[in-house]
Amino acid sequence: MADRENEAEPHHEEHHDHHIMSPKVLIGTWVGLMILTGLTVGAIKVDFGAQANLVVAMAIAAAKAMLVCLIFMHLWFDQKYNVMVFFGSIIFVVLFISITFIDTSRNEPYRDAFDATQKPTPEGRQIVEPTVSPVSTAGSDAAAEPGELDVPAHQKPKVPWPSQLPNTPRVAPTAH
Amino acid sequence: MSEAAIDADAAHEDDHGHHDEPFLGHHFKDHGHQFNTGKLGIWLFLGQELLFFGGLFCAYAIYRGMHPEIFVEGHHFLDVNLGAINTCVLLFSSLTAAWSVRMAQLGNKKGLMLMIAITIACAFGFLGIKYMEYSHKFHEGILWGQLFNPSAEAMDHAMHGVEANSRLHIFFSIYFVMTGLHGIHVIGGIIAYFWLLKRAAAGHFGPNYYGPVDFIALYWHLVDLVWIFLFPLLYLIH
Repeated sequence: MADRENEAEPHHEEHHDHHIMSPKVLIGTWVGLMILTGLTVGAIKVDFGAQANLVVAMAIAAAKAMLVCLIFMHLWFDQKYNVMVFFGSIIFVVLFISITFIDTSRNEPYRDAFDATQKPTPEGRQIVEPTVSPVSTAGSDAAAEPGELDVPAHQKPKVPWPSQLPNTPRVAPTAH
Repeated sequence: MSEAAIDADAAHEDDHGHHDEPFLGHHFKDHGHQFNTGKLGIWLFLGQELLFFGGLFCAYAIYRGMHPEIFVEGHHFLDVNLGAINTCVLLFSSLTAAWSVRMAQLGNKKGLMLMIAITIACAFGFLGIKYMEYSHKFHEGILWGQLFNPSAEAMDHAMHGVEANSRLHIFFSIYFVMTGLHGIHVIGGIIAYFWLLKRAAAGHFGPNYYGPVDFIALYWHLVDLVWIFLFPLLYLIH
């Protein structure tokens, strides 16, 4: 009895987009992409300034990406859930890069201080003793202070790590 | 048991399979359901691919922020013309990939096979140009990391006598990993498209069922997308 009731129900096909792209739209998009590619290559002839060059290049690349995503990849006509998945992962990539940027700009002073002790040579990097040691070497041969690792004097870093300083300075990122 | 009851049982099979539809999974209500599910699946995969390449773009971004001069120097070793031709080749293959979906939707088997074949040909073209670029670099000793040992001619040609930065090898580490990984994705796309060509030849696809054509085209568009960003970031630095 239950079987007959199921068979009597009309069969609704779940909606999925049968939207067929027209040749005009496909070719038009491709032409747009080729024009933007020409623009990208042409833009290297003009110097907008070091930062702006990158911004211009990325803006053109983003425009091309929009054309590919919305039309070739069909997102303009698609269910919103797929759009959310895609743009959601873009948001996470942006988060990934920006937080890493914040981190590296914060530890820049320490990297610069370390670099100052390095002298690049063709054979490879060699650590050069700085003429003025930022850390007092008096008593460096004495027994290690309580809480310190027993590290031989020649292996102690010549540039103090933040943990060695009494108050790790909060350095504002310098504008470059 | 009456005859009618036996007929009703036979019509409603125990495994609820769609026995008249060879490419419709039994757990799906209908083709629309299967298509929507597959589409979500491929978009989730593409989301992962974005993050996959995102890690490398992050390395690029951070290192370029720290040492922009290395990137300006490094790009002199790259051929902008070959990069631009590769971009055009991939953009055209994206067009034919999108067109292949249209062909499948219209049930045009010959058109579908033609579009897939052109897409594969463009992919091979891209790999061929990449091979030319890589083999030239290997020949000149322009490799990644510790293997970076450029010949005097190559250095002269690129740097015009100016001494190069001591960290230049790191640019090429980034260059080879990013373009190499992208190339591996192109190869994966070629394999997928050959599989699709085989199925298209067997007449599997039509207006009711064209999911694989659509999904592999989506993957291919992502490969194109990654290159759209790689090209200006590596080849067009100034």
